[in-house]
Amino acid sequence: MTGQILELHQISRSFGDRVAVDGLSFSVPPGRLFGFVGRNGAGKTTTMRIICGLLAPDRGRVSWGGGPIDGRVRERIGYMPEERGLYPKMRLGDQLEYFAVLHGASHAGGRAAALSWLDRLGLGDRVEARVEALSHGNQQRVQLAAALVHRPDLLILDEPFAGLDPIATDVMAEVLREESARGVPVLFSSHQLELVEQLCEAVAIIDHGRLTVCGEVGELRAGGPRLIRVDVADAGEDWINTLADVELVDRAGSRTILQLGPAADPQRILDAARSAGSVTHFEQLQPTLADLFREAVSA
Amino acid sequence: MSAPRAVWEVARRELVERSRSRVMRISVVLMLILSIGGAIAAARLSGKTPTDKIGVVGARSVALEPSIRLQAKAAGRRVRLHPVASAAAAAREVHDGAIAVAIVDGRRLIVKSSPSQAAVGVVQTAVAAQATLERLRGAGLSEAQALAALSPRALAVDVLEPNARKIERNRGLLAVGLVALLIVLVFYGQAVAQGVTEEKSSRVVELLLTTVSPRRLLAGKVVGIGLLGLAQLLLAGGAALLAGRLAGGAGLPSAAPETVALVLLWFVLGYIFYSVAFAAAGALVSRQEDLATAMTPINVVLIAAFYLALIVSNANPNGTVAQIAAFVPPISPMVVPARMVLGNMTAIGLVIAIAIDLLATAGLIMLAARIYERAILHVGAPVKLSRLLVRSPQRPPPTKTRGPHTMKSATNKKAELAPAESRLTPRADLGLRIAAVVLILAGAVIGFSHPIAIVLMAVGLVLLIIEQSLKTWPRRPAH
Repeated sequence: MTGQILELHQISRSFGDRVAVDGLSFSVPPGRLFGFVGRNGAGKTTTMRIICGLLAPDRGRVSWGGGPIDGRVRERIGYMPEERGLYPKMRLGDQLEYFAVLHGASHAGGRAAALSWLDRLGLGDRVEARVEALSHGNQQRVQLAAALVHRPDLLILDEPFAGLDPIATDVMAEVLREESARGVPVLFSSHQLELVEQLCEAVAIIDHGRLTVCGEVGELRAGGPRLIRVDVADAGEDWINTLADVELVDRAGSRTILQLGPAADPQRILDAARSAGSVTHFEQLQPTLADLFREAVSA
Repeated sequence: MSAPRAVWEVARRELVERSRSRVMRISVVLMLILSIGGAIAAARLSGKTPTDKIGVVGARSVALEPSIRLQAKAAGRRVRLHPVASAAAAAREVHDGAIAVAIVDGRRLIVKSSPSQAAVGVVQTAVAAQATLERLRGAGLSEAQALAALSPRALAVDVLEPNARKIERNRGLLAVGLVALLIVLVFYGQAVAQGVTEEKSSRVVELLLTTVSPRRLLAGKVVGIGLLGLAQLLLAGGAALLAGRLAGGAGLPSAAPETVALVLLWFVLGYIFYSVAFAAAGALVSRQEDLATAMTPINVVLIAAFYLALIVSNANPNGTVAQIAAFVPPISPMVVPARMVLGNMTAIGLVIAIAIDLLATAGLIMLAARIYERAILHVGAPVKLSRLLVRSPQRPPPTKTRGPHTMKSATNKKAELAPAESRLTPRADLGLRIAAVVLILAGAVIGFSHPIAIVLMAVGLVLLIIEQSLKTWPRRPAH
């Protein structure tokens, strides 16, 4: 079933008077690493729970390859909940085997997959250890293995990078890349925007349950506001006042960041800067995902 | 995955993981020791078949062996025959008390002091019967004719109260069954509730629910823990029976199979009913500390049912209260076996009681599954029952977990994974449990007709409740 597209059609969900998700639509194509970004309480976890069938949407629907997400599809989802949860007293090998079996694997097949994932994640010597004996970071690795042990066709990971050290972050990123290279749509949420920018081809930014920005990371950044960084030594502050359709974004010492309107011309800015002082740095900037995010959620 | 496979896989995990736990193993060993010890003690104290040791000297005596055995059996005794080399040796052994009677060459008996003891009677009659048989054969009768002549038809006996013996025999069996049912319901029913709460408090349930539906999860838990309970019950029962036999007891009374079947049937029915209720209680709370409160109503009903069954089976199994109680589902698992064995409940009554119980259980399963489905993802303060039942199915209650509790727990994940703090150390907990079980079993052994037995069992039950409360109530008041 790999190679299918995950689509959300206008899903909404409220808890009492509070609207958690409001008419959300986006899709995650196969083999795509898809970042899901939003402030705390924006509705990310609710959305992911709806995709996994843990919550029913009040309105709208989720589809997988055009069909509904039924029990058979749900068996093929790999899910990492935001609230990590494993059986504290169960041995790692048995626990992962159990999760694999619940997703339809045979006991032998589940055992083999469990052992190979534990090896891969550096826990090969802890197969017989109980989860409660592991450090927090290692529990997190087991949690990832639990999401992957049945070789899912769709990965939904709620904050997989939260609380990981840099090495573990690299391992996690590598695994996610591999899974998406296998043709699996990977949807994950994170607050580490630089990581999302590096890792993801596409992102969705939601705020108050609504989609505010969605698309390819490259296009979004290219389509963002035009920015220019100019470092001018020994210049006054007023040299930019002569420029048309240019706005000051940030200034620190000699460094100035300008946002260009449609009528602004970068060459004119450079000329103005050179006449004001000696230019040590001139660069056209693309907005970072963090810039896009701030703009999206403050709007 | 098919529903039966999903249920079985969940049940299998319960079986495997629980049978691995040390507490479980200790409790199995303990129950085995208690039941074997109890059975041996009971066999020693009561109807042990008397055994005579008889010395046999010479070939003619040896030929009498079958006859002696037959005669002993008819007299309700056992014999152990020892071949002895000579009359002198036999006399020595009789003198030392190694054998009670010696028969020499089929002609002479040697006893120590009392010629009138039962063993002598057995041998005398056997010899006489053998002699008569031989004479009849000598007079030309075939062996079959001779045997027929020797065993005239016995007189028919009209027994005015044919059930009295059966009832007396079964009363003990029933009492043991009732106590076993209560213990298993308390331990294993609460194990179901604790298992459900454990999955909630460790948050693993969210992962499980992506692939297993709440109903299947509930069913698997009930089945797995139930099989474990049944296995323990059968193991302890079988061991007790075997030990009783080996110790010379009579084993199961002759009328027992129906009683055993009845107790087992109502054990299964009662277990399903109560464990489903316990599972729903477990789903209402997210921490072990809150569990005791959630289980209280079920415990109250359970213990009330037990006492009602006790009173009914002793005082008046045919009274109005008993007749009504047999058809009230939470009570019937304990009352019906008593009414069937000791009272005048008919097969039709039994079928109706089973039907009502099954209907009520089906209803309870639906209700519990609904509670379970809606409460299982709700983390934080215990869920109010009314909220789950009143709302329409399309709009479950808030299941969002970002309450103040979860914020706290998220920063404190390691503590979250640790078992709930208990006021009891594991050792004290085990001690209390053992004391309670010993008291209850002691009561059962003494028999329900003695007031002291009721007192012992009551104290045992109170200990059990105290143990459960201390174990699950927090050191500090919640929030």
